[in-house]
Amino acid sequence: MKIIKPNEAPQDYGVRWRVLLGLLLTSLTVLIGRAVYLQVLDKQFLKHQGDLRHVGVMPIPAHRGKITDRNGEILAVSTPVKTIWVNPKEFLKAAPGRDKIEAMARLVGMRVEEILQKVGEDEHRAFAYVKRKMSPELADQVLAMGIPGVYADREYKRYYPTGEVTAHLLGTTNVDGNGQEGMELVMDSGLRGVDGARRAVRDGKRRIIEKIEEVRHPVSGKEIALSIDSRLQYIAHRELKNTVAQHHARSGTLVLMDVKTGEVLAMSNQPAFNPNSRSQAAPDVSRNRAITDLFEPGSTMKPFAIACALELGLTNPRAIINTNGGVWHVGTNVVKDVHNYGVMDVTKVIQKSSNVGTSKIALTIPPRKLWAFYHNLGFGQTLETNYPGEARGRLSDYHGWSTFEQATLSFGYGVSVSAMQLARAYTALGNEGLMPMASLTRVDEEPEVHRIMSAKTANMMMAMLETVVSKEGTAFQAAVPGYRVAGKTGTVKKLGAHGYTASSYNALFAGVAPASDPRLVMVVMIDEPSAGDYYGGVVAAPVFSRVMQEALRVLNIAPDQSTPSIMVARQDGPA
Amino acid sequence: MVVIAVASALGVVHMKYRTRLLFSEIQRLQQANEAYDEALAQLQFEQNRQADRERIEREARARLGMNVPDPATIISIKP
Repeated sequence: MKIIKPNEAPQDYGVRWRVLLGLLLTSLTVLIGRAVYLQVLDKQFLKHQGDLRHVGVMPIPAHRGKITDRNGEILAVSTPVKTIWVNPKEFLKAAPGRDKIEAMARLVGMRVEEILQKVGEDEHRAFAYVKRKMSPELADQVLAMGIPGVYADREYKRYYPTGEVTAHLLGTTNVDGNGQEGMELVMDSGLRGVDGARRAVRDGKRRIIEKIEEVRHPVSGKEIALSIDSRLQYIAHRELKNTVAQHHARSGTLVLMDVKTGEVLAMSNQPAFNPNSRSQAAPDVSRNRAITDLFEPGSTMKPFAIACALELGLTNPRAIINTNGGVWHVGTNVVKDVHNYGVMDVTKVIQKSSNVGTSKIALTIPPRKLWAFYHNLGFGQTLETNYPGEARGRLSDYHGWSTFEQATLSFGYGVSVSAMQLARAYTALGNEGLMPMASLTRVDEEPEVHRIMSAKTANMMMAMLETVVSKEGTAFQAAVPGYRVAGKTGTVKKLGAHGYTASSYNALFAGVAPASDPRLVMVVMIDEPSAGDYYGGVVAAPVFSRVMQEALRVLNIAPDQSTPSIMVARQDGPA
Repeated sequence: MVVIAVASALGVVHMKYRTRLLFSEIQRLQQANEAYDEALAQLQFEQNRQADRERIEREARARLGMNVPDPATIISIKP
């Protein structure tokens, strides 16, 4: 047996050993170093990155405040709804069958193609809206189908129970629930509230595993009470709508105001739109004409010109004015009346709405005084309602007035006003010369009022305006059975591109009731009635009458006219 | 010392357990609250639909045969 012995001398492995050890130690050091780096030095960054992927701060939307009418009836409310969204990545991976998508399409009210289009084909997207703000019940049914990658979130949707009746005044919110127009925008900061925030751990599919804490509790928006009375608003809306349709008018506006507080009790415009429908209404339809649109007030301005003369002691209701011929030459221009009224007193000038008579009186007033009187009534000034698009109107400076201009200003041409401004100016006549600040929200404290004229002047003017609403006056159709009414008609030629048009008019009526103790003032403006009639006394006055009659009844205001039908009921003992 | 440590450890475990219980309770109540909110909104919606003035007027005139009294037939009693 041969034993093979290693013939080489035993080698010295010491070097190899040391090299190996050195290598091992180095790699160990590197590993430890890396661990220390990750665990100690870079810990914050990595932890933060991890949290970013799994811990999220999610907003808790605050509940937007309600808008109610003056009696607490809801006009706008945010209701909980659900929004369906998908995670296209998961959705495409799971590739649900066509029948499932069809069932889902039925529930969300969309076509299958629309859904697939929203999901898209990009496999890396993680979020796509399918249907925003749908009924929670239907959304729950969609979720119950268990299609992978389909989720629902809670949101709020603005709902307007009164629909088009209050649409213009309230305005709208955008899809994220912020005020866009109207009172929603004016009151946005109060209604909005403060969104809350919640920190929560989510899994890879964005589902909430654990709610860690509420960072901030959401604060609900405040409830805001408007000045309008929804009962009166409805009546105003109904009558205005009927009238605009009946007279084939382009548009119509009605403002009903409390004489003493300046609160707007009803404000309606035609044409109207449904604020609950998703399609956006055209600005032409959606703007609140009562505040944003200007027109020349025509004869409805006469009471103010004459009141100014009365205030300055330049005339009195019995003073005699000669309007013979119905034509009066002022410089190179001519002021005309519809008929020749001959010689009459100032009351009659108002009753018959004589341009010549009014001009003759107005030209006795120093221009500066007339301008100041109009200015104090709020013409050419903002109403300070902060309403978006509020029109200031136009009242030119008296320095540039010619005699003829001053004459036309007295019968309401050359000055432009909004319906709300006109209504507010009439409160001065109805409230014994005191004009309150206009308000679109309920006024709970003593309203701020300004004296425009003496009580004597205002009462004289009211007495004259009462004669307008009589058989001899221009607005017999504005009469309200059982009540005394004071008011003034206006039939105004519209301004076209080339001066005044020949055949398009605005029909106006402004009035106050009950005349013995005024409570309500109303302005009705019908734009371009084109079904034949166009006089303010024929088109606008009947609207006034019908709305006022119901408004007085609803507000329980006692009749002040002694007609045979109003008698003291006898108590005949038990029947 | 050991006893205290063990007791404290058990306490922590117990508290953690309680927290979890309470948290799930909160979740349950919050969900119930949301459900009530939704129900309330639905009911308000329904109420408003029923209380729509146009509908009331239609019903009153057509179904109940009601009318606004003619002012001539109204007798007012002076206080």
